[in-house]
Amino acid sequence: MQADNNKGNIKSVLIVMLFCYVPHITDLPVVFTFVIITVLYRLVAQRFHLPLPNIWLRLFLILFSLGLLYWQYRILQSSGFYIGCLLVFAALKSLEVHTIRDLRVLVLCNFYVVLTVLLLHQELWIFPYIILGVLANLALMVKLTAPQVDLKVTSKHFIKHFLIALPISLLLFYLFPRFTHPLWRVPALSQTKVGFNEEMTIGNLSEVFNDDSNVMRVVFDKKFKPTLYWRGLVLSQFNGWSWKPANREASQFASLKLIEPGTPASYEIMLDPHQKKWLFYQDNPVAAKPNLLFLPDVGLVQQNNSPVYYRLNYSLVDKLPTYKPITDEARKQNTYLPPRGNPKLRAWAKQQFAAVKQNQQAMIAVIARRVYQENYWYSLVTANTGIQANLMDRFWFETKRGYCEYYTGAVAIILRAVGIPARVIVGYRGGKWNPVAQYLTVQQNDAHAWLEYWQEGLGWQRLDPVSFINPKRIDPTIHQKQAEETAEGWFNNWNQGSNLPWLARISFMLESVQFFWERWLLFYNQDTQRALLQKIGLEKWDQTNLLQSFIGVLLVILALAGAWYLIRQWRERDALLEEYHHLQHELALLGIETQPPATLAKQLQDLEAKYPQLKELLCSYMHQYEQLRLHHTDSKAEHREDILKMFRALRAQIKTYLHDT
Amino acid sequence: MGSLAQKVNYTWSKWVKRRAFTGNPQQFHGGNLYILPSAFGWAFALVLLTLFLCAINYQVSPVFFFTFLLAVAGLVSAWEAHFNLKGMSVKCLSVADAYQNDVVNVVLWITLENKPCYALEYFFRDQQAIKIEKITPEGIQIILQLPAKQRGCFQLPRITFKSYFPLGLFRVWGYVYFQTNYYVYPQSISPGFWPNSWSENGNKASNIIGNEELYELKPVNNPWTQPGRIAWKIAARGQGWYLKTLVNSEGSCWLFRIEDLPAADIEQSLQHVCYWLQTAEQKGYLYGVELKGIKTDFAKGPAHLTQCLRQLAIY
Repeated sequence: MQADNNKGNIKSVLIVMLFCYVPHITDLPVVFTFVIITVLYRLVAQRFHLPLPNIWLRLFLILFSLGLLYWQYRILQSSGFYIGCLLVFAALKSLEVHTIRDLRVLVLCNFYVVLTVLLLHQELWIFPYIILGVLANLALMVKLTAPQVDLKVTSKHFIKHFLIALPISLLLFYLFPRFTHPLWRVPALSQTKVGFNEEMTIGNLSEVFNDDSNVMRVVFDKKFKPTLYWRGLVLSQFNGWSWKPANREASQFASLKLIEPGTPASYEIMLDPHQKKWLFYQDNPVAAKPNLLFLPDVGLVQQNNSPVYYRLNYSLVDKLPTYKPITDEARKQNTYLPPRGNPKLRAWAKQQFAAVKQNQQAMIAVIARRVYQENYWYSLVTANTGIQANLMDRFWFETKRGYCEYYTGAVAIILRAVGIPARVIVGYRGGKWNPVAQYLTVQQNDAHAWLEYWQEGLGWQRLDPVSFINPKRIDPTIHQKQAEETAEGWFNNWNQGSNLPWLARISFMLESVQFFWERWLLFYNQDTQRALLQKIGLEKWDQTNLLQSFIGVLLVILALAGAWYLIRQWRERDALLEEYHHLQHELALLGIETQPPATLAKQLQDLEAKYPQLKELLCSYMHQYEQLRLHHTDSKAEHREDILKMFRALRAQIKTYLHDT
Repeated sequence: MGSLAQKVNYTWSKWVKRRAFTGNPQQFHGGNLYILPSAFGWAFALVLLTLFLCAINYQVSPVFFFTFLLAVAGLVSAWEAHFNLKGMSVKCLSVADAYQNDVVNVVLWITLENKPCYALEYFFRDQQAIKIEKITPEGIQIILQLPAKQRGCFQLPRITFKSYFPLGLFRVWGYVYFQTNYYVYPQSISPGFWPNSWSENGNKASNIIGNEELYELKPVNNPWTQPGRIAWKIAARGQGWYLKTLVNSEGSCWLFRIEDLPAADIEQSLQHVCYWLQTAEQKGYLYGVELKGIKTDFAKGPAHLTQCLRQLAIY
C-alpha cells in the first residue's frame, strides 16, 4: 500500500518538477534536454518497472553532466555554470527517489528551480507561471503528508494558505529594506545586451537593429519638454578608424546635487542592466536622485562608477546648459584628426568651407543639401565591411550608402577638417510612447549615433546628418519605424491622451501591465522603494526605519494571527459541554464524585444525599432535565440552548443556595 | 551525549505527565498539544533562508516575494497543524488481557469537534506508528496493539498522537494517559499430565456449586441475572426471591496448585497451571486455583478463568 502511494507520489512530483523546468527550454537548451531525458526516464521506469541506474552509472552520469556543463559554459566561476549544476543535479536526484523523504528533497529542489527561473527570466508571464509552480509544490507537500486524501481537500488547504499568505507577503515585500550592494558577486548573467559600444567603430550598431529588447523606460514630468535624443557617451577621440571617449579620471566627474524632496524631477528612468557604466540622459542634468556623477565631456555614471548589473532607477532634473567658452584643450581634442586618412573628404571639406567663406552655418547647410540632394541612402546593408583605409572617402563619394555611424563619422571628419570642434555622441533616439500609461519605452533598435559641433556664443549644437537624408532613400522598414516614432501623435503631444483604436489600446494596456509589473514588482529596488515612501509621505524613512517596521509588522501579524486563532477556537467551542464542565466543577467542590461512570443523575442524587435541604430544588431540575431530554424539538440548536440554560440556572442556584446557608 | 538525551527525555516525560489529564475520555486542547518544526520544516526554512540571501544579493525582487509567500504559508500551516488535532477526544473503550508473548489489544474511540482530522499517527512509546489518513467528525474506533513481553499487571503506557498535516513542516503531538491496568498471563504450556481432582485427593465436594442437581436455594436481591434459576414457586408464594443452586453430578472438581508440579522453575510452573486452567475451562470442569495458600472458589466460565489467570499473572 505504501509502495503504491509512493508510486503515485513519485509521478506527481516528477510532473511538477518538469513544470518548473519548462521556462528553461529556451535559455538553457542543452541543460533542459539533459534534464528532460533524465526525468522522463524516471517516469517511464516507474510505469514499466525498468531498472534504475546503479551506483556506477549514477557516478558516470554525474561526471558526464559536469563535462556537459563545462562544455556549455567554459568558465567554472560563472552564474550560468552554477545554475546549470543546480538544475542538472536536481534532475539527477530523481533517479534515486524511493521514499517520501527523497520526494520531499525533490520538492525542496523544485523551489531552487523556481529561483533559477526568476533569476534568468523577467517576462510578465513568468510571474503567474511561477505562482502556479509554487502552488503545485504546496499541493505536493500536502499530498506527501496525506497521500490518500482527495485532491479537493488538498487544494482547499494549499489555496487557503496561499490566499492568506498573499497580502501579508506583499506587505512584507514592500517594507523589507533593499540594499544596493551585493553581499557577494558571481559574474553576472548577461541579461540585456548593450546597444552601443564604448567606442564607435563602423559596423557595431547594425547588429542591434533587429533587437527589440528594452533598454529603459522613462516617465516624464508634465512640464518637461523632452527631445528625441538620449545621450549615452560622448566620443571625442578619433584615431582614424574609431571614436573613443576622452580619457578622464573618475575624480574629474562631478557629483550632481541631490534632487530635493518636493522638487519634481524632469524624468525618471528605469534602466535595464546593460553591463556598462554609462547612464542615459537628455541634455544637461543638474540634479539627480540617487547621487550620480556627471562629466559633460564624457557622460553620466553611478556614484561608485560601477557598471549597471542590476535594474537601476534614477531621476534627473534637466536644464538647458549655460554657455561657457570652450577650453583650448577641448578645442584641440575636438578638432584633432590623424595626419593621414580620408584625404578626399578633407580636401572637399576645405574646398566647401572656403566657398562659404568660413561660415559655419553655411557649411552645415552645404552638407545638408548634399546629403538630401545627392544619391545618399540610409541602409543597414553596406558595401563596406571591416576596417578599410579611407573608408569615409569611399562612403562620401562612391558608395553613399550607410547608417547613422557612417553619416556621423563622415560629417565629424568634415567639420574637424575645417577646424570646427565636433564630437560623436552615442545613445538612443526616439522610443515607443505608451499613451495609456504615459511612459516611453526605448529599445535596443533605437540605438543611434549623432554629432555635436561647437558654435561660438551658443555652445555645443546637436547635428544629426541622418535627418538630412531624403526620406525616399531611407530603407522602408526603418523609415516606417522612424515615422511612427516621430509622428506628431505622441511626441509633440506626449503628455496628452489620444484616440487610439481599441486593438492598439489593448496592446498598450498590456504593455502598461508589464510596466507596472516591472516597476513595482520585478525591479522593486531601493530607488523604487524610496519613490514609494515619498509618495506615501515617508521620505524621511531610512533603511533602519524600514527594517524596524518590517519586524514590527511581522510581529503584529503573528500576534493578530494568534488572536484570530484563539477567537476562532472560542467561537467553535461547545458551550453546552463547557457549561456541563462548570457544573461538574461546582459539584466536585462540594465533594461529589464527577468522574465517569457517575452520570449527571447520579451526581445530583449524591448531592441530594449530602445536602437534603436541596432535595426540592434538585428534583425540580431533574424533572426539567428529563423533560428536555425526552422532548423532541425540530431545532437541535434550540434544544441544546434550553439544556444549556437549565445547567446554567442549576449551577447558579446551587451556588447561591449553599452560599446563603 | 546518549545520557544527556535520555536525561532530557526523562525530564520531558516527567513534566508532560505531571500536567497530563488522567480522565477517560481525554481531549486535546491548547494545554496538552505540543508543536515544533519537523525535520522537513527545518530543511524548508534553510531553503527559504538561502533563497532570501540570494534575493538580497542579486536584488531579484520576485524571489523576495516568493520567499515571503512561502514563509508566511509555512507559518499559517503551523496554526492549521495545531487546529488539526485540537479538540480531538480519545476514549479508552477496553484493554484486553493477553498471554505472554502475545499482544494486548487496546480499543480506543476517537471523536472530533465538528471537523475532520487528517494524517493522524498514533503509537505507544517505542512502538511503530499507525497512520490514519482521515477521521470524520463522527469518530472512529481504533485498535492499538501492545506487545506483552512480561508476565504481570501493568498500567497502560502513554499513547502518543501526532500529525504532520497539512504541509509536513510542523509536528503536532499530544499524549494520553489512561489509568487502566492490564494483565499479562503466563504462556499456556502443557506439563504432560493432568492432576487429580480435588475430591480424589480426599476432599468433600459438599460446598461446590454444580450444574445438574438441585442442591439448595439461595436468597438474592436481584434474581434477573440468572432468570432460568429463579425459584418461581417460592416467589409466587411471596416469600422472596430465591435462586436454585445446582451440584455437579460427577462431584469432581480441580484445584490447581503450583505445588502439584515437579518443575522447580516458577515461571514454568505458572505456564503449566495456566494450561490446566484453560483446559479445565474448555472441558467445562469446575476449577479453582490455590496460590500462596489462597484458594479461589470452584467455578467455571470466562469471568472465573480471567480471575484465576490474573492470579497467575500477579504471582
